Amino acid sequence: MGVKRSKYSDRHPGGDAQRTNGDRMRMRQGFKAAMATVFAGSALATTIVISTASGAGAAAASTAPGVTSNSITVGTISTQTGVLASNFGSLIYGEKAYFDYINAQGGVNGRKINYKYALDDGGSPTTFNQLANTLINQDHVFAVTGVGTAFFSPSLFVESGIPTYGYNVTGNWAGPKNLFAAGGSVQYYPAGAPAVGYVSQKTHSPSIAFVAYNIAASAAACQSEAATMQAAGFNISYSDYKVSYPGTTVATDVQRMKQAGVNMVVSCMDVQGNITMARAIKQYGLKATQLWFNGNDAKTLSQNQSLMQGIYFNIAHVPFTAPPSQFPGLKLYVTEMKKYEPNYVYDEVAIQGWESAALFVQGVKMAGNNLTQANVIAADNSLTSFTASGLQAPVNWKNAGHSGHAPPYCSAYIKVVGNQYVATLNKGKNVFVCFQSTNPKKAPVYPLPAGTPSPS
Amino acid sequence: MEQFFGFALPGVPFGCTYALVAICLCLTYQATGVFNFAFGAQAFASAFIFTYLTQYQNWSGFEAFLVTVVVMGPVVGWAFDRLLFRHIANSNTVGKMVCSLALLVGIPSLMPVIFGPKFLDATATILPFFNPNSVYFTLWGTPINGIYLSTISVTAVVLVLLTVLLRYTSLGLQMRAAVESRRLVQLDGVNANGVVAVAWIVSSFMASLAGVLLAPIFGAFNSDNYVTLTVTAIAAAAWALLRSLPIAAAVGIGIGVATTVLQGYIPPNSFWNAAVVPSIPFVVIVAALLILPGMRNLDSSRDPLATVDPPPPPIAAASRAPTMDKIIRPLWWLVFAGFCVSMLTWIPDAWATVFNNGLTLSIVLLSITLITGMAGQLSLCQAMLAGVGAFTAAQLANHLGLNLLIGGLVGAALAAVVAVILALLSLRLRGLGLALMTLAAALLFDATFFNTVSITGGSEGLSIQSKWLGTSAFFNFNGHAMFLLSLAVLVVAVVVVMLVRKGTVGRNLAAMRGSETATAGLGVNPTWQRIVVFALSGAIAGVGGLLHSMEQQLVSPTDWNADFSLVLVVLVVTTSVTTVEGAIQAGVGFFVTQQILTTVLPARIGASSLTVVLFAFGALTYASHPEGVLEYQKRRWNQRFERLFFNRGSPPPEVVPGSLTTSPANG
Repeated sequence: MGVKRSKYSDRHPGGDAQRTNGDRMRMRQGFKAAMATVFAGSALATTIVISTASGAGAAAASTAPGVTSNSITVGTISTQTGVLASNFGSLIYGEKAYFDYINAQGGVNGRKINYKYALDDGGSPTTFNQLANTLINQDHVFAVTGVGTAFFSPSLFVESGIPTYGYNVTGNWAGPKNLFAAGGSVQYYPAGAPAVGYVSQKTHSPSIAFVAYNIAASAAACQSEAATMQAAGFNISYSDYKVSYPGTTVATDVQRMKQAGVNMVVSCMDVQGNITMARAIKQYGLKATQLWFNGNDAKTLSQNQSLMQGIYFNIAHVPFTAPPSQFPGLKLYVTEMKKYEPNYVYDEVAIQGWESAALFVQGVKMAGNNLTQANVIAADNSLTSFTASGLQAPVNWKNAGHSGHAPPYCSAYIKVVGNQYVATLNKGKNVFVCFQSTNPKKAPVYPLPAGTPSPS
Repeated sequence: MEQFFGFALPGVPFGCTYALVAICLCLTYQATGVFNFAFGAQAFASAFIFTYLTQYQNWSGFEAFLVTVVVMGPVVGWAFDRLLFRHIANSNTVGKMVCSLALLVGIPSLMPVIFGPKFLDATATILPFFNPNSVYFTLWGTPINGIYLSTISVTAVVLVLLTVLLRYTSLGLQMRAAVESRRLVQLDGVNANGVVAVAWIVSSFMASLAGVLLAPIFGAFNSDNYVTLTVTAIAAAAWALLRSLPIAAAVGIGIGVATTVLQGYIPPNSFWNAAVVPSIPFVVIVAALLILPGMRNLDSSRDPLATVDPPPPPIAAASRAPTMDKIIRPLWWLVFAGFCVSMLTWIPDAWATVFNNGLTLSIVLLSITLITGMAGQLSLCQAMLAGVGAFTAAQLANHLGLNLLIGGLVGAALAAVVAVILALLSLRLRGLGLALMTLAAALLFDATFFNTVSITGGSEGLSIQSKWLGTSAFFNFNGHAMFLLSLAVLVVAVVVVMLVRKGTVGRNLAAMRGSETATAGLGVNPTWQRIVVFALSGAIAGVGGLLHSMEQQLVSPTDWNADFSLVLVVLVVTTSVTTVEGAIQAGVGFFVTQQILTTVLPARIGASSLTVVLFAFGALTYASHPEGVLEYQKRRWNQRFERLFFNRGSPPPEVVPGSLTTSPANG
């Protein structure tokens, strides 16, 4: 028993001349097949493309893309699955909660927000680009109200002039007038230095360590703050800006911090890295004040309560544990988000979605009946002190939101006490602390600058 | 000395998990002959479900352990054996590897499809009496917490039990005999299939155990960590020649310890800390492959009843009836012309992007057609070569003002040089050895060059600017320049691949697949053939990489990492790795499928994950249909049409590689 030869084997070896002809023919056939295959794979999609095109025609009948007489269609692209999901996933929860709230109030100027698309880029730049095209050119949304990804590529959004809102982690939101990152499109890292210096001084922790991932956004933030503080005369006794994600080996850093006499640790890592480092700090017996920028959410605290005691956080919004009766913006946020528990949580990322949605809705409100993308962008850019109804530190979109920076630099401090994040290092009932300069030696200013959320 | 141990001890828990997976690899390879890349994926899946149950369903750690490790682990192992690997027991090494790679790629992508987007923080441990946050005692100044105790104790117990099983029991003897020759063992009255099934069950249990143990150490759920786990375990297993469990365990622990010791002594912000520390596992693999003669002969069959692979079946286009050819050929041209006209006229921008993505990725996939389809070897670093081309062009444009397209040619040349260096390093490697070498190279680039901000812009990548092309109109999304450019380069790449296949190099490669020694005896220099095909493959990947990045307007290391190299192999193997149209079908099909799924599926399912899962399942058929699913189906349909319309009689028999029988469906 053996392999039977095919009766069609005239293109198999059987003589030099025959082989040459056969192969040449195969090549021609293969080439044609290859070229044709360019379409063969896509033939299936033709029907969908056609139906998509006709759909586009229907949307174009209204005055602006995605707008009908009673609705405004919007969408988001964020990383909901994959490696980076924990850093961006809950953005859509904040968005949905805010839009549901607005719709429950009857919508904006008679139109409800149709939060139709919440797309997942899976942490892939290619997928993000493809989805951006889909949202803008196929789905014809009026605005992209939430972008939460490490791979934001602004070209298409800028070119199309679509109002775009989201979470700024990549540093490339600055410039174009239609890109609105929550908290301001410019990442001006030296502005964080006075906030760190203030904690160092208030907690009497003069020997400071900075720890960051070997990731541009993480390392740049810590490096810039450390450089500004060092220039101002602070003692930066240890730094590591090349920690491998997700920070599983920070135990060696902690040992060296101990040798360097560090008594304050500033982390530009994410929650996981912070938790691992906190465990090492505690177990190696390093007595140090810790200042984190990530990890302010109830779930993290409930799971790691023993490790997080006494840790300070620097945040850009009203602390979740501030008295809701005195901060209506916070009350609204917490009330609305609680409706979705336990599936939705209110954390640092969800609030970015909430703020983004709030800025978009503010622009739509101000655009009034003449609802166009350009008018919404212009309306948002006229805001001089946007706080998402008293929830976040003010952003001046008219003068400094898209380019440059201008004091005051405001933020809030919280500290873990028991099973709660408690507002701290503030003056009186204020929760925000504002600085008029990047010099970390300068004291905060009081009374708080106009527009800063204050207790009512 | 205290400082040394202070740096060394934190590496022990990592080392123990590396050791566990290394033992799994050795055990499975010893008992089944399969080098199972998917152990990392199994570990990830178990850890994912374990954490899901403890975090979202409020199960206790012990209950979740019973379900995910004690029950799920063995069941998955049994299923792998019963449903997949048993049927390809006599397949060649590449066939087995492709199947395990498909699982490695597919399983992590399956998790979000099943469970939806979940943000998991792994804090629970399987042994409630070992708390990660509690310090039990101090050793050389190092606090020993529950993570240390649980990983060390579990690893020790497993190692002892397995050593006893393999060395001192008849089952162990049968396991070792089964890998020498399953059929010979059966002739001796042993139920070889049962023995192999036990090996799969035990090793899968251990992979699940390793995953759950490692979860609280990593904290975050990142499948990349589990790929690193697999690769580090491979390094340990390699030094054990995939045989000795104690050596595998010792090397695994050694790598964990060496990593933290070096990290402790090398200054934290130095280049060396970022470059050397993550590179350790890959250096260990490469050293094993280059130094140990046993690693170079892994593919040499020891089975006296081993079969010989039949020659690959002819491509469908070549075996069509001439009459049918006359109809199909003009039809294809018509379709091709229709596609081009459509792209230039009415296809919406969103879909134009999809097709452009597909066309540019096809060019990269053609590089796999050269190496795997023609040379019969598996390269797992093609995305890396694409990235080399793209980053080189971007940096030349950014710093020297060189036009991006001209820089692309330089990038292609550099990618070719890198590929040639790899070819020279792996001259004596085949099959598994070559796959491991290329995977190590890809991971080495990920950890070093691609992770260097000054080269790649870090994880955020480099935004491509229109001025790099000397124009601002090129990136107009309503224009068609990108399509025309991609199409032109694709045509050139297709012609090059087909010329190679038709020419001397292609013939020599085909001969080398049959017998390299015999080919050398005919005066052919196999080394030179190999270098040529690697160089061409690297150059094509480099050009494709640049074009694909241009379409994204971003060159990102995430797009060209080692994970994506594995996905690329899975994609092209699913359609057809032997034909140029297979590469194009894979490239275009991947993005079209993803776009369709994005359009029709709810967001929670994750279209990109599901697309990868679909292709991964397709790749599982590689061992039985090495020509690819689509190519196989095309041939079948050709035959059916010919029978129906051209009265060509019965079709030729289907040959199942790895056996001397024809498949029941056709024989």
